[in-house]
Amino acid sequence: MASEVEETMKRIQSHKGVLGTIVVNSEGIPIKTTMDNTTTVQYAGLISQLSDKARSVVRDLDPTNDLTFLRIRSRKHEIMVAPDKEFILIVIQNPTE
Amino acid sequence: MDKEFKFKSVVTSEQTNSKVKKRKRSEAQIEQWDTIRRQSTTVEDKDINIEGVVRLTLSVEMQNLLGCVIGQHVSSEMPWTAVKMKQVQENLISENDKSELFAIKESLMKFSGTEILVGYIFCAEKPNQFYICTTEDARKSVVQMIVRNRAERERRVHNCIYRSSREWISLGSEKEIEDSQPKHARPLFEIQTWIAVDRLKQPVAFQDRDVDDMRDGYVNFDSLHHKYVTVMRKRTDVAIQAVPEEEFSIAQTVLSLPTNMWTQYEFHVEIQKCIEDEDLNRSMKQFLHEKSPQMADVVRYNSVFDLHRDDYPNLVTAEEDVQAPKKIMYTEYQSFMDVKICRGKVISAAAWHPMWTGVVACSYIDNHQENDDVSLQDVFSMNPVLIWSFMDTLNPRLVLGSPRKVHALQFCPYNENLLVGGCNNGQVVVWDLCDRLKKVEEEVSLSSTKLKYHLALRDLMGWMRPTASDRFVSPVLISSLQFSPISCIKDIKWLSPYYEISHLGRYEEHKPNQPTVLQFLTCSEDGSICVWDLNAQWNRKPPENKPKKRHYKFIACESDVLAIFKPHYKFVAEIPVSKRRMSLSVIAVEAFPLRYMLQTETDFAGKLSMTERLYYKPEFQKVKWYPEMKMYVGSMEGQVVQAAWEGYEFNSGENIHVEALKFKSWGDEHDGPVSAISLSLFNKDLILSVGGYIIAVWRESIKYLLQDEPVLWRRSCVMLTSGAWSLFCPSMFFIARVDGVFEVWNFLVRSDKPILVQSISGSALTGIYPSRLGPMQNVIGFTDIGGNFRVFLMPQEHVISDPRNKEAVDKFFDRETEHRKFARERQDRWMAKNADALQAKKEAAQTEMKKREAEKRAKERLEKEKRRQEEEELQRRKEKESKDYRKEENVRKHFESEQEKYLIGVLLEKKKLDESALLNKKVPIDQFKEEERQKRLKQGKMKQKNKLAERVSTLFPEMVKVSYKSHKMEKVCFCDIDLL
Repeated sequence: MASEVEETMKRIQSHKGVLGTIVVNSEGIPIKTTMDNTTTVQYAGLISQLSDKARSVVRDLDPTNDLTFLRIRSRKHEIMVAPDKEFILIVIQNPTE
Repeated sequence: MDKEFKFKSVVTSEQTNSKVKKRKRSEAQIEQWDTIRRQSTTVEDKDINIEGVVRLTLSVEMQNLLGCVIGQHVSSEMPWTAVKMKQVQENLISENDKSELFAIKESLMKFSGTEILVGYIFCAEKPNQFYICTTEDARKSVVQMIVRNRAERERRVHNCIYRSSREWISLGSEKEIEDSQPKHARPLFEIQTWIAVDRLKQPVAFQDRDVDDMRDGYVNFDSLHHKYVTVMRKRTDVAIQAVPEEEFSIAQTVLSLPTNMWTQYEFHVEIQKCIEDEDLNRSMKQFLHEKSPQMADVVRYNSVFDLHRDDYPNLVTAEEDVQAPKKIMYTEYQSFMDVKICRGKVISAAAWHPMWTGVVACSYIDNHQENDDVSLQDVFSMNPVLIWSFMDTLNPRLVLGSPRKVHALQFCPYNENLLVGGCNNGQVVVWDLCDRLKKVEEEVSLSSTKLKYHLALRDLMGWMRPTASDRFVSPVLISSLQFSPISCIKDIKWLSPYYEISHLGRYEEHKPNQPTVLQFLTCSEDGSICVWDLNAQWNRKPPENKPKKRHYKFIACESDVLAIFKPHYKFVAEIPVSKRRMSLSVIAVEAFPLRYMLQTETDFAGKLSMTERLYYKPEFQKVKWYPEMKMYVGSMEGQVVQAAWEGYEFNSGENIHVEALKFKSWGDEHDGPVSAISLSLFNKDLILSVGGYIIAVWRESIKYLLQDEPVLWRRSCVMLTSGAWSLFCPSMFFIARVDGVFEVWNFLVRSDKPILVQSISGSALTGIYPSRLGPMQNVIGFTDIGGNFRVFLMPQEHVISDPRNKEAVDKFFDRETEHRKFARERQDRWMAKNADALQAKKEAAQTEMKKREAEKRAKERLEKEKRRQEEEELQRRKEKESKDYRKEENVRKHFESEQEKYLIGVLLEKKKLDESALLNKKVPIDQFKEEERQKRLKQGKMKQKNKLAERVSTLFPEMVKVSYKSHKMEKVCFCDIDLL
C-alpha cells in the first residue's frame, strides 16, 4: 500500500523541474514528503494555511463553490496545491527556462 | 314860499327816506323804480280834472323865456316846476294876443302869486304840452296830488322790498332731505401724529460714499435702438445639502489560528515515518489517486510551457526585421540608342556578351505597320546588328551587317568572337568579331587640326576606293538558303562544348585532340529545329587567311572556298495526332556546367567603375555529366513541350538526317504564343514559361504525376512579352509586360503576386536580358518597342544569393506538387462518385443552353423588327422636320451675315475709318476696273472680228479687197458671209 503512494509521488517527482512533493493532512502536518524536514514543515504549515484561507475565500464568494487547485507563481518557483477534505498535495517546481 | 318849502321838504324827506331804506338793494335801483312809478303817474295824469289847470302847448322860445325847457328844467321824471309870474306877465303884455298864453290871460292876470306851477306832459304824439296852474287853488290841489302820489309810491316800494316772514307749512319734503344727509353712526377716530420738528431744522452733514456699495450707484443710459431679448428662465437649480447619516458598526473576528506564529521559530515537527493507521493510509491513497493525475498534467505542462513568460520581446530578435522594409527600385543606368540607325526600329533580339562585361549585341528590325510593304522592307531597309558598350551609349561600337532581318542572336558562350544570328528567311548568319572591338576602342582620337588635315587629304584622293570602316563587320558565314529552314528563325541556343551531336543525331563525347565543339540549335517557325556545326566550316578555313583582310561574300556564292554551310542534323516538331508542323517560337536546352575565370587583374575591394570592362575566360571542366537527349520547345499556339530524340543507329546516306521529335509531355496552358522558356540555373528541373497572359512554372521531374500541368501558374491582367529567371536568386524571375511594366517575382516571399512592379516605359517591353557583370554590381537589360536597349542596375537585395534558397525552392515546389496532386485526386474521386449527377447536370445545362439560344434568336428577331420600325418612324419624322431644318439654316445664315456686318462696323470704328470716305476712295478703282472690263470686252470683240476677217480673207480674198475699198461693201460682204 505504502509503496503505491510512494510510487505516485515518485512519478510526479520524475517530471522536469520538480523540486519536491509533499502530502499534508488537514491539520497542516506533513505526512509524505520528498524534501528535507525543515523545508517540508515550513511549506506544509504555511501552504495549508494559505490553502484554508483560499478555500474560505472561494466559499465566501459563493457558498456552492469550492477550491480545487491553487497555483502560486513566484520568481523562483511555482507551487501547485491540490487541496482536499483530508489532505493537501503540494508540488514545488522550477519554471522552464 | 310855503309851497316851495313844502315841495322842498317833500323832496328832502323823500331823499332822507331813500337813504334810510337803503339796505340790501342799491339806491339807483330804487330810483329807477320811482321814475317808472312817476312816469306811470304822469301818463295817468294827462287829464287832470282839477279846476284851474290848463293844458297848453309851449314853444321852445316860450320855454326858454319861462325857464321850463324840456330836458333842462323839466323832464318826464320831474315834470313840475315853478315859473316866475313876472316873466309871464311881461310876455303877456309884450306879445298880447300873439302870446301863447293869451288863452289864459285873464286867469293869469288874476293870479296873485309870484310863481306859477307848470307841469310837463310827456306825450309822444303831441310834444311840448304843459299843464299850467292858473289859480291858487289849482296849485294847491296839484301839490297835494303830488304829495299823495309820492306817499303811495313810497309805500309800494317799501312793500316790494321789505317782506315780512310767515309761518312754515310742511309738504313732506323734509323727510327726504333728512335721508340724504350723512349722519355719523359711530364715534370718530382719534389720530395722534408726531412730528420731529427739531430734526428738520438741523444742519445736514454730507459724506462721500462708494458707488459700488449702493444699489443706485450708477445710472445706465440705454440707447433707444437697443432691443432686449427676453430669456425665459425655464429651469432652476436648487441645491440641497444632504448629509449622510453616520454609521458605526463593529465586527469582531476571531482568529482560528494564531497568525505569524509559525514563521517565527524553527519547526520541530517530526514527520511520521511510518503510518500505522490503516484508514489514514487508505484515504491518502484515495486522495492521491484522485489528485495525482491532475497534478501530473499540470506539472508536465509546466515543464514544457512557461505560461507566465512574456514572449513579446522574443518574437523578433533580428533587428532588421523590426525596421520597415526598404523600397527596392531598379534604377536606370544606361540606354542605348543610335538615332540614325535605330529610328523606327524594334529590337528583335539582344544578347549580352558572356565573357566581356558591358557588351551587348542588339539586332534591329523595322517596326511593321499594317500597310507597309514587307517584301520591299526586307530587300531595301537596313537591318543592322549593333554591338554596344557601356562606354558609349549613343554610338555603337560595331555595326554588323546582315542580309536580312535578324530575329535571334546568341554569343557563343565559350568563344568570345563568335556571334550567331538567325534571319527571318531562315538563314543563319555568323559574325566573327575577331578582336575588332578592341581595335575600334584603341583608335586614337584625332585633334581638330589633324582631323581637318585628314579630311583634306581624303578629298584630294578622289580616286581612292572607299574602304569599309573599321566599325563595320560583315558576316563570315551565311547558311545556304537551300538547306536552311524555310521561315523565320526564332531562337538560337548553344550546345555543350563537351559533347557533340553527330550526323546521326547522337551525343558523342568530345575528344581532347579535336578542336572545341561549336554547335548550336535553331528553332524556326516552320517547326524545324536544326543543329549547326561551325567546326565543319571552320576547320576548312585556311588559317593564314585573316578574316579582316578578306572581303566576304555570301558563303553560298563562295562554295569553292568553303563548303556549303548547312544544318548538321535536323529535328521536326509535329503535333502527334494531326501530324501538323508546330510553329515554334522558343527553344531551351539543358544548361551545361561552365565556369568563367576573371582574366584581367581587378581589385574588387577598390572602387570599380561600371564601364570598366572585365574579361573572363571560360574554364572547361572535366565532367561526368551526360547530356540527356531532350529539349523544351514553345510554340506560337501556346504549347510548352518537352521533347526527346533518339538519333539514328546507322547512316542512311541522307544529306541531312531528319528526325521527328518525340513529345514526352505536352502542356497547353498558355493563351498566347509562348514568348519565353527559361531553365533555372539552380534547380535543374524548374522551367519558366511565359506566353499570352500566363506565367507558368513547370517541374519536369513530376510532370507525369501532374498530367502535363504546371506546378504553379499565374494569370496577369496584361499581355506578357518575356520572362527570365534571375541569375542570382533561385526563386526569383522577371516578367516583362506589354504596358511597359516589369515584374519581379519571388515565390518564396510571395507566390500570389510579384514582389516588385515597376513601370519603366510608356510603350511595350519586348525582352528581358539579365546579365552578370561581377560580384558587386549587376545589371539587367530591357528592350522596348521604341528601339531602346535600357540597362537597369539591379538592387543589391536582388543580387544576393542564399544557398539555402535552393532547398527552400525545392521544398516549396514539393509542397505545391503534393497539394495539386491531392486536389486532383479528390476531384477525380468526386467526379467518379457523382458521375450520374454530373451527366444529368450537363444535359440540363445543354437543354437550358438550347432554350436560351432559341429565346435569344426570337429576341433578336423582335429587336430587328423593332429597329426597322423605329428607323422608318425616324425617316418619316425627318421628312417632316426637313422644312424646319431649312428654316433653321436660313436663320443661321441671316445671323452670320448680321454678325459679319457688325464685325465690319466694329473694325471700321476701331480703325477710325469712314465707310463713305472709303467708298469715295474706291470710286476711281471701280472706274478703272470698269474701263478695263470694257476694254477687254472690246478687245474680245475685236479679236472675234479679226478672226472672222482673217477667215474671210483666207476663204474669200477678193471680197476682202473690196471691203477695204469701201465700208459699204464690207457690210455687204459680211452679210454674204452670214449667208454662207
